[in-house]
Amino acid sequence: MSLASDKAASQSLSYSSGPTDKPIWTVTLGALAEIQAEIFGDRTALAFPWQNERRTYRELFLRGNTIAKALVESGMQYGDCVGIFAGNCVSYLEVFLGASFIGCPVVVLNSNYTPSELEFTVGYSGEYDSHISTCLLR
Amino acid sequence: MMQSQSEVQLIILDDENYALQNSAATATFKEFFGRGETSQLTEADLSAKKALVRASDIINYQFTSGMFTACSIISSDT
Repeated sequence: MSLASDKAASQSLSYSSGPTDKPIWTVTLGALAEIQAEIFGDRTALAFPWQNERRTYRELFLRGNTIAKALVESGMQYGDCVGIFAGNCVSYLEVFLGASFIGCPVVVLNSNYTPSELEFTVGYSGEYDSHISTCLLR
Repeated sequence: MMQSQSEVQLIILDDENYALQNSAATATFKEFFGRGETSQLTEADLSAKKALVRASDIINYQFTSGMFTACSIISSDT
């Protein structure tokens, strides 16, 4: 790379824009995951090297469906909150998707919260039926 | 109202031993996932539940680091 192009790259903004002639999609995450599974199917959607785990778009969609069913079987309904108190891992994203498929907002609980911060956050979230956790009670 | 801790279902993602040694309300992720795999819910039932969801629904609560005076709410269509 030349000095001029190096300079141009270093001065470019972390900003990009796309066409503006078409309206932004209004679509649920569940519908988007299904569309992506149909279009991209066996392409890798995510990789977690430290867990040695990968998911294709189709796997992500199907496992999201299974988690949505598991949440329903656990008594969760549209509008109930699902809390996640965990570090980055593949199941974190799968739970996020599965919950969104059936309209359960995910409450992201920072694993660095102090007990009082955690208490506030959980209380604010109102109805609190399921709690996906790595270490809440350790 | 927030439920008491004893009523909260705990799903442990990464520590099966912890889950196995604790109360019946605590499950491993594998057990939790199994509930979905063995569910009697049909695809039509699931589709009906998905149909309730609107793009403008809240999808995620995120609390900012300086928080406890404010929080961000992200919905599907933002």
